[in-house]
Amino acid sequence: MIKTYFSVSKISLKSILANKSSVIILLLQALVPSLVMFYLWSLILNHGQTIGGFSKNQMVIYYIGVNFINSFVWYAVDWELNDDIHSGELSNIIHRPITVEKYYFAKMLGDRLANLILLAPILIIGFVYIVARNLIHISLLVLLEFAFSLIMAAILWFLFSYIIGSVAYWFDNLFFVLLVKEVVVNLLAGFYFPLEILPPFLVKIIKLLPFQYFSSFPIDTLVKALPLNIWLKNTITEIVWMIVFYLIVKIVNKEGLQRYSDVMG
Amino acid sequence: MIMKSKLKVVKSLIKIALLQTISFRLDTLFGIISSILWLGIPIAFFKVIYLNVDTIGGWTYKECLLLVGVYTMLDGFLMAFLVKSMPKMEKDIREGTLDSILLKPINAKVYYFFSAIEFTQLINSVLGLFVIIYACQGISVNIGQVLFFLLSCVFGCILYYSLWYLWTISAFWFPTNFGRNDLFLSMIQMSRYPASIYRGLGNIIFNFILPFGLIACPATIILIRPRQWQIMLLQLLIALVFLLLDHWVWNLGLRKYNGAGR
Repeated sequence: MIKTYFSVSKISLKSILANKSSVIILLLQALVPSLVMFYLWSLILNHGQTIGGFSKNQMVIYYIGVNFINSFVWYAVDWELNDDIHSGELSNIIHRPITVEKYYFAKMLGDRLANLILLAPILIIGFVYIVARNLIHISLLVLLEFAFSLIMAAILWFLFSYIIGSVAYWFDNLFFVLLVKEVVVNLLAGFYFPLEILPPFLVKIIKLLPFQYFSSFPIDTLVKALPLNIWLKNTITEIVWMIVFYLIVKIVNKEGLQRYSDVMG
Repeated sequence: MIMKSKLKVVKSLIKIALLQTISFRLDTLFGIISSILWLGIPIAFFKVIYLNVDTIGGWTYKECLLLVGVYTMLDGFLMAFLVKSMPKMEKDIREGTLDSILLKPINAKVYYFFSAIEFTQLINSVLGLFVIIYACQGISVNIGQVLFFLLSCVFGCILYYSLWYLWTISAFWFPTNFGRNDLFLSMIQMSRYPASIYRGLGNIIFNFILPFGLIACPATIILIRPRQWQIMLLQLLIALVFLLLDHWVWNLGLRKYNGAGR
C-alpha cells in the first residue's frame, strides 16, 4: 500500500521537476505578488505606523509568507477532481490499487514536495536574511510550531478542496463555483490581507471558521510568535475541523462514486 | 465577400458561447456572485487601509476607488473573451492541436478571441462602470476628458490583451501545464494599485517591462488630474510596442511549432 502511495507521489514530483518552465512559473508566482505588496506596504507604513498590529517589516514578511504558503499548501485538488470527473479520467483512477482520495492525496504530496525542493534555495536565503537583519524574532519552538501548522494546513486544505471538488459528481460545470470558492477562501484565509486589519467584530466571526488555518494561522505563528497556549488551542480546533472534514469526505466520496458509476456505468 | 463569411463565423462563435453560458444555471449564478466579490474585495482592502492613512502614493480613497472601477471594467471585458480561450490556446500549442485551428477559414487570433466568450464576466464591467460613476461624483469632467478616458481604456485593453497573449504563446518555447494562466491572473491584479507606488527598479519593471501600471491608471489619471494627460501617449507607445511584439513572437512561435507530429 505504501509502495502505491510512494509511486503516485513520485510520478507527481517528477512531472513537476522535469519541466524547467514549471520552475520559472513557480518562482514568479511566489515572488511577483510579494514584490508588489512590498512596494505598497513600504509606502503605507513608512513612518513606523502599524496596521492591525503589523509593522512594515511584519507586513512584508506576512505577504512573502502567505505567497510561499500558497505554493506549499494550496494544491488545486478541486479543479483536478472536477476535470477528472467530467472528462471520465476518474474511471482510470478508480481501477488503480488505491482509493480515490488517497490517490489525490499522494499526488498532492509529490507535487508539494517538488515545490519545496524548487523554492528551498530562496527560502533559505530569505530566512537567513530575516534572522541576520533581526527583522522578526524566531525561536526554535516557533519554527517547529510553524512547520507543524504548515503540515496541518496542507491536510486541512486537501480535505476541504476534495469536498468542494466532489460537487462535480452532481453538477456539470463548476468553473465559477470553484472561482467563487477560491476568492472567498483567499479572503477568509488572510491571503489578500491580514485578517487582523479588519474591524474586530469581523475578525471574531472569521476566527470561528476553519479558513484561517490555511494561511493566516501558520504565518501568524511565525511572524507574531503566538504564545504556546494560544497556538495549542488553535491547533486542537484545527484537528477538530480536520475530523469533521474527513467524515464529510467519506460521505461525499461514497455518494459521489455511486452516482458516477450510475451515470458512467 | 470574404469579410462577410468571416463575420458569419464570428457570429456563430458568439452564438455558441452564449448558449454555453446560459445552459449551466448554477455556474451562471456563481458567476454573478464572483463578479460582486471580485469588485468588493479590493474596495474593502482599500477601505481598511484608508481607515489608517490619508493617501497612498498621493492617491486618495476616492481616487483609488475610481482606479478599482476602471480596472474592473476593463478586466471584466477582457476576461469575458480571454479567460477560457487563452488556456485553450495554450493547451493547443502544448499538445500539438493548434493545426486544426490554423486550418480554419479565419485568423487564429480572431478565432481564439471569439471562441469561448464567458458572458458572465461582462457583469464585472457593468459593476465597474457603476463604481466609476459613483467615484466621479464631485469631480468635474469635461467632454474632452471623457474622450481621452475612452481612448485610454482602449489602449489599456490592448496592453491587457497583449500581455496575456504574449504570456500564453510563450508556451511555444516553455510548454508546461503548471499554472501558466493562474500566474497571469494573479499578476494582472497588480493593475488595480496606483502606478506611483513603485519606486526605482519597481517603476521600470511594473510600468515598462510588465506594464501593469499602464493598464487602468492612465485612464483614471485623465479623469482626476487632466493636466497629466501626456501619460496616455506613453501608454499608447507601450501598447504599440507590445502589439508588434505579439505579432513578431506569434510568427516566431509558428516557425518553431511542429504540430502533433513532434
